[in-house]
Amino acid sequence: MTGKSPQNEIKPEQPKFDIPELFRIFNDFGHGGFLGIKLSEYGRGWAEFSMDWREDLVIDTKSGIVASSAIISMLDHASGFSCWLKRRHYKPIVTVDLRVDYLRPATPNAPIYGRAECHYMDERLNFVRGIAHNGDPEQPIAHTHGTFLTTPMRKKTPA
Amino acid sequence: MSKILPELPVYAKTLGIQYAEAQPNHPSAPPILMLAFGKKLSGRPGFLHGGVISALLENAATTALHHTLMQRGTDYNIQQANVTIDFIRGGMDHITFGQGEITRVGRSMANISASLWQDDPDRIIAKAHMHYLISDENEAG
Repeated sequence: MTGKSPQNEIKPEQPKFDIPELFRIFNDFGHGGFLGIKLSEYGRGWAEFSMDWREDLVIDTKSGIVASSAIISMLDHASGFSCWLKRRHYKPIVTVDLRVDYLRPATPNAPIYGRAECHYMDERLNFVRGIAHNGDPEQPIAHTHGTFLTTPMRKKTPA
Repeated sequence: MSKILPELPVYAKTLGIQYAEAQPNHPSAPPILMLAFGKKLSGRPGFLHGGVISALLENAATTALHHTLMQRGTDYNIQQANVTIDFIRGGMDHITFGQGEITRVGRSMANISASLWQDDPDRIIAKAHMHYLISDENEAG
């Protein structure tokens, strides 16, 4: 880790950093779109997404509990977004790791919210913590902590 | 041990996760799961979404745990406590395979890991380790 201040690395004055538009771009296709993830609130360095309860996302139809992995999908999304909201411009990132602690099952038939906050950033590393809840952040379903790597712009990343 | 593995969760089936073998009932190795790529599974275009990778890892680990606990011959309940996922390579638009590995299954807790690969089993695209709580069927609250 260098002693550089993160502020030196962040260039906030980038043209056309339209968050709802960026969300639409990333939600028009793929798994985020399939899950029906919505952007509910955001601010500098944080984003809260929401996802409606759906019967095809549950563990089993009897319990109606949404599968943990569907919640991870939303928090992975929200975590990535929080990095752009902290950097204030879009730069490709990849998830390096994600830790999830499960506190309780999600409430059946209730929407799920995923709030993520990028609490540290330098030119390459982004650390993000998040929670999933059913509307009351004081009653979390899960806590998450992730590491994201800002990568150079390129067309196709080799595997 | 005539019991068959439990059905995969609805969400796993929604994604298209399935057992790689029709009758995965090997006594030793945990069953392999597989997932074909589809547009609704992508993150960046042409790459698997991190949440989908997580889903396959979690299901592979849970399957491995069921596979071990079934051999004990007693009823049980499991509850996943946590997971840590390492995303190692981008998941391409190919078939992905996943398999769990038992580190330890005790009376009340299990330490499990799981790995995913695509074309080459030696090139792991993601790895996770999880902790599960185990309880007897009749003592579950």
